[in-house]
Amino acid sequence: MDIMTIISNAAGELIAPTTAAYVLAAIGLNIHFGMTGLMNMGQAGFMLLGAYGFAVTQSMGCNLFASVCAALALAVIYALLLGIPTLKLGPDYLAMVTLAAAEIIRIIGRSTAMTNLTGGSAGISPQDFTEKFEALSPLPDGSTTFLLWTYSNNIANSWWLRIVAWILVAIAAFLCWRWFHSPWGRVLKGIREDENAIRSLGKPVTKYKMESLILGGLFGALAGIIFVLPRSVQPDSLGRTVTFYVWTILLLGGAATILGPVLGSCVLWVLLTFVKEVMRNTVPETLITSNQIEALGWVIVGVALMCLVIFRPQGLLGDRKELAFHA
Amino acid sequence: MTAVSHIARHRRSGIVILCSIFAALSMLFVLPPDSAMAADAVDVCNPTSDNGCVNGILQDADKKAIPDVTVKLSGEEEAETKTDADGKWAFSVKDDGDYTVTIDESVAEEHGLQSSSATVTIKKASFDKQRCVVRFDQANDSAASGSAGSGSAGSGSTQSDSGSSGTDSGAATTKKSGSNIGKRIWQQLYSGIIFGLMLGLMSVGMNLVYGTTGLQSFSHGEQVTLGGLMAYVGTQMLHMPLVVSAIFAIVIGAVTGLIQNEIVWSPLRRRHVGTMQQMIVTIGLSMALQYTFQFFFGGDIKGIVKSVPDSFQLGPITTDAPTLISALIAILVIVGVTLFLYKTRLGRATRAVSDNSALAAASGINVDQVVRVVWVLACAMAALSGVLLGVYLNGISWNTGATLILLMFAAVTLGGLGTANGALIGSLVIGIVADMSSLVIPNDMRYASALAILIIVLLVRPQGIFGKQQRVG
Repeated sequence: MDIMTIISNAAGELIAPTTAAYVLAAIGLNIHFGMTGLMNMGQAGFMLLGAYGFAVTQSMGCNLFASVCAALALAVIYALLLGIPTLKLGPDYLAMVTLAAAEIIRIIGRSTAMTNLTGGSAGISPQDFTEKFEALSPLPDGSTTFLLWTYSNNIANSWWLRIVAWILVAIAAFLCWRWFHSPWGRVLKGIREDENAIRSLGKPVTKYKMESLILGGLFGALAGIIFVLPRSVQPDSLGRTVTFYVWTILLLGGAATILGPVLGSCVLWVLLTFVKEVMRNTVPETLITSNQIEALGWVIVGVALMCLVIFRPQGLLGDRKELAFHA
Repeated sequence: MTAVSHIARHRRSGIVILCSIFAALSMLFVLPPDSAMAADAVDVCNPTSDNGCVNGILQDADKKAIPDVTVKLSGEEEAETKTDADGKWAFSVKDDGDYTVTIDESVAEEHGLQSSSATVTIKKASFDKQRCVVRFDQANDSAASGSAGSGSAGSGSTQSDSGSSGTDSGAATTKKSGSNIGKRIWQQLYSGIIFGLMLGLMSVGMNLVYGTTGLQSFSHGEQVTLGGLMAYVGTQMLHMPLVVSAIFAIVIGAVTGLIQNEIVWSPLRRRHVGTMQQMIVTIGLSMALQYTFQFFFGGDIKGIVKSVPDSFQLGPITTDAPTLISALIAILVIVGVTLFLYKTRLGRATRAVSDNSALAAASGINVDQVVRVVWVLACAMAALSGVLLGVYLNGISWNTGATLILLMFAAVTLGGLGTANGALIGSLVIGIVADMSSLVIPNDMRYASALAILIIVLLVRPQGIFGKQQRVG
C-alpha cells in the first residue's frame, strides 16, 4: 500500500508539468552551452521574464497568443541586452553577467515598488492568469484516472497542461535535432570547439552566438510559462537555484545531446521524489522532520552535481569529446 | 486578545520590513507633511517631529483588501476612519502614548482575522515608534511573517535578500521622513562602510583564491555562514564566551579550507580540470553545504549573542559598541593580510603565484603549498566575517552567505580579479552603494543596484579598477 503510493508519486513526476518545464529550460541551456559553449548562469532569469510576460499580460486581459508573444518578446529583448556587450568577452564574463542579471530581475520583481505590476514577493495568483489557458482545453470537465495517476482534466495541475507541456517538449526536441544537424548548427559546434578557427573562416561569430543566446532564451521563456501555470508566479521560486537545477539536469542527461535534457529531468525528479518519499515513509518524524527531508533532497542534488562534473562530465548520454568545458 | 504589540526592537524585527513597505508606499504619493491638530484620519501618514502614525492595511488571509470598514482609534486621542479600496487606513496622532485600534468584531469573524483590536505605543522621538503598523490579519508575533520567508523550507528557493538585509541599516532609515535627510545620508554611509568592511573580509580571501587558482568559488558564501553558525554553536550550545567561540569558528573555518583543498580542489587541479568545470563543482558544493546547514540548524535566524547592545550617538550617527569593535577587527585583519602579502616571504610567493603560477613554479616556489595556505587563510577570513556579520546583524541563518555571494563577486570584479587590495576597495564601494541607494530606491531593491554595478563594470572596464588589461576576454 505504502510502496504503491511511493511509486505512483515518484512516477507521477515522470509526466509532471514541472518536469516538462525543466526539460524546456534545459533544452534552451543546451542550445547555449551544449551547442555553442556559452556559459549561461541565468536561465532562471529567462524563465522569470517569460512567466512575468505571460502572467502580467494575461491579468490585463490580453488573449493567449498575445501573452505568449509578449513573453517571447521579453526574452528576445533580454537576450539582446545581455548579449550585445558580453558575447565579445570571455566565457566567464557572460556567466557573471547572466547570473547577476537574473538576480536583478528577481529582486526588482519581488520589490514592493512593483506590487501593482508583479504583485511583489507574493507574486501573481493563478486565478489571474490561468483561466484563458484552462478555457482553451478541449477536454471535458472533471478528472480522469490513467494508469496510476488521477488528475483534474482542466484545472491547475491538469491533464490539459501535461499534454500541452509535453507536446511543446516534443516540438522543442525535434527542432533541436533539426538544428543540431543543420549547417547553422555545425557552425555553432565549431564556435564551441574553437571560436577563432571559425572566425578565420569568415563566419560572424558574435552574430551566431547571439542567435544561439536568443533561441535558448526563447525556450527558457516557454519553460517559465509552463513552470508557473500549475502554481503561482513567485519571483523567489525562480531564483538562482532553478538555474543550478537546470544545469544539473543538463549535465546529468548529457550536454550536446538531443534527449539529454529529457532524460536528465525525468531521472532527476523521479529519483529525488522517490528518495524523499521513501525517507518520509520510513524515517519517523521525530528523527527527521519533513523540512529536513526537503533540505536533504537539495543536498543530494548538490552532491550529484559535484560528482557528475568531476567523474562523468559527459552525463548519461553525452560524448566526452563533445564537451564544451574550455577555460 | 492578540494585540499586535509593536515593540519592534532596533534592527530586530520583521515589522521593520512592513514599515519599509509603508515608507515605500508613502513615497509614491508625495504629500505635504500633515499639520495634525489632534488625531486625524488621513489618507497617507508620514511621521515628523510633530506627529506619529498609526496605520495599516486591512486584508483577509488571502491578502485581499477589505474596503469600507470603520476603524476606530482610541487612547490618548480619538478618531475614526474607513478603509479605502485597497484596505488602507491611517491616523496621524500628536501625543505620545498608547493607542488602541479596533474594528467591528463581526468583520473580523467574517474574514477570519486574528483579532479585532490592537494596542500600540507611539513615541515621536524614537525611530522605532514614530510609526506603528497594525495588521489584523496577522497573529501576535507578526514579526515572523514580515521577514519574507527567509526560513520556509517548503518553497525551495527562498534566498530572500530581505531576510537579512532588512535587519541592518534599513531599520534606522525607512521610518524617518524627509525632514532629516542629512542625518540619513550619514547613517547610510556609516552602515555602508561597516557592511563594506565585512564584505571586504570575505572578498579579499575569495580574490586570493581566484588569483592563485583561477577559481571563482560559489561556495565561499557558505564558508561565511559556517563561521557564523559555528560561533552560534560556541556561544549558545557549548556556552563559551563570544571570543572563544569566535576563535573556535575561525579554526573550524580554516580546517574546512584545508580539507576542501586536499580532497577536492587539489586533485582536480592535478587532473587539469578546467576552471569553468571547477566553478560548477563549487555551485554543487554550495548547494550541498547550504542545505546541510538548513538540515542541522533549521530555517530560522540564529542569534549569536542574545543581548541587544545599547546604542549611542556618535556625531550624526547612531551606533553601538559591538559594531565598532567588529569594524575595528575587520580593519586590523585586512591590514594584517596586506602586510603578509607585501612584507613576508610567503606573501610575496603568493603574489608571484597570482601573477604567473607556471613562472613561480619554475623559480622554485612551492605552488601547492602556497595554494594550501591561501585556501586556509581565505576560509578563516570568511569564518571571521561570518562571526562579525552575525554579531552585527544580530543573527545568522542558513542562507546568509548565499545572499552575499553575488555581492562578493561584484566587489571582486569591481576591484579587479586577482588583486587583493582591489577587493577591499570594491567591497567598500559595493557596501556604500548598496546602503546609500536605499535613499532613492526602495530598500528591498538595494542589492540590485550593487549587481547593476557589477554588470556596468564588466561592460566598461572588465579588468576592474586595479586589474591588468591582459585578462580581457
